[in-house]
Amino acid sequence: MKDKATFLGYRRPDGRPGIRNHVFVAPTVVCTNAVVDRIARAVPEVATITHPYGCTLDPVANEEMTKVFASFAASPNVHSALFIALGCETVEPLRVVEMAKASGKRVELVTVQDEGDTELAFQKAVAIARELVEEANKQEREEFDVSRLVIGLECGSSDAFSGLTANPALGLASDMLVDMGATMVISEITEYMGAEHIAAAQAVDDDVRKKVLETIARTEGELAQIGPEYGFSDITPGNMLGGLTTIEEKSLGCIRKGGTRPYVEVVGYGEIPTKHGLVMMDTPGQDIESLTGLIAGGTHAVVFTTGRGTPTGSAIAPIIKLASNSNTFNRMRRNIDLNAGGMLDGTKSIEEVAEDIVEFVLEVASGKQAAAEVNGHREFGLRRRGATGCIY
Amino acid sequence: MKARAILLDKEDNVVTLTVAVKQGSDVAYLSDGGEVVIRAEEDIPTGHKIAIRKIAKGTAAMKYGAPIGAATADIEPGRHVHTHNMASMRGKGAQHHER
Repeated sequence: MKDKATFLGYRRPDGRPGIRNHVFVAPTVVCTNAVVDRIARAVPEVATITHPYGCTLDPVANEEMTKVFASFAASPNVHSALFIALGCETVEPLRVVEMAKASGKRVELVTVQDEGDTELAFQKAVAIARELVEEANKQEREEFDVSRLVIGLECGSSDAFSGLTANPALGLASDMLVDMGATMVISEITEYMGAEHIAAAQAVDDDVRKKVLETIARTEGELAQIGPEYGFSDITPGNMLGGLTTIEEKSLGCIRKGGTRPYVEVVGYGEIPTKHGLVMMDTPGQDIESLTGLIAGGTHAVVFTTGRGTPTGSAIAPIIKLASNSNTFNRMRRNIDLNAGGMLDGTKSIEEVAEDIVEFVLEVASGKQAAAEVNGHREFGLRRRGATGCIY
Repeated sequence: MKARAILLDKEDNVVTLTVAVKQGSDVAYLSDGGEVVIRAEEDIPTGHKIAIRKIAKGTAAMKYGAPIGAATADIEPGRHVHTHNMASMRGKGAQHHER
């Protein structure tokens, strides 16, 4: 497992190997969600999302939405993609398709208003979806070095044990994967408030340090705009029930999942890292919005620690769950893949849990399904502009 | 059997309980390789924090070797440290503290 580790992935025209071979089908606008749902029922092999977006947002949000849609289609985990447009949305479907096609793969578009109605659009789209699935099925896995993997780091529905067991164990696993040449992407900038000094000390050079601190300060500034009567930095009720009292306490536990290797780069929401090593992505603390940014940024899979237990997943990337305690793991056995609770129970060391994580990540990279995939979770959510008032 | 708690850093003035405790029970944690015992002065749920030293009002509660907020009331050793007597020093939490 330590040296010359490889995984079996899919070769892609843009050079980024994938760990899944999905045919991705998505609406460009909320109005065509039902057509996509019908395609999912008719051709169960496709990976679909539905969403409430696509129209009448401010220009900045509109641009971010366009990029995220295109980035999902261009994801290394996607073999080919099909978008269902209405024809009058503010997200320009042709631009989404054109941007996605830069990855060199097949990207198709069916527009309801051009076809006549949703029934005619559905008939055309289903034929295309079947053809894409047939093409995808012909592709076989090939061996790739672990250094080609990009893995996200996330935590959600945290409790007080998250920072004592699951996050430090994931941090150690992250160090091991970085040492094998992989890229690890840590996110959720709201959960750096109170831990800036640690992140700053971990930056590889002054430029990255400046960017790390600026990104955290900007996020805190946005939160402050909510206004003094509401304030910010309330952690969730579940966090508090679990024993966490403040955002500082939560942050100090959260950032342990990044391990101890230097931060080599800070990238924007949904941006693809250019460096190998530990990378920080500017995402909000809301799990789904953060995961969407990570996956748009080309992460193949995400390791997600949870204290109280969350089932969430993605249509195109395995979201691997690691419980902070055995009670949650046993209660949500069908939703959670791995358990760091042995560190509390005295049955496992942090090194053993970290090795479990690395081994599972490599198995998932070669095709093993994570629980969220088995359960069909495919949540999708774009970053909200402005402040997210609660720290998840 | 003594309840167990975790001390994360020698600067810390709170430890984290790995089980729920009843008032009057002993809580043991490791510090510098030796076992230290403190008496729980009230019922405290699992995962929650118990003060191992006095935390005066307005001073920092320390965990992970870093400040996690400030006491909004004097906290005696053995007491539960949570939202009723400690608050963040950032954002809304800061309003709980006297200027």
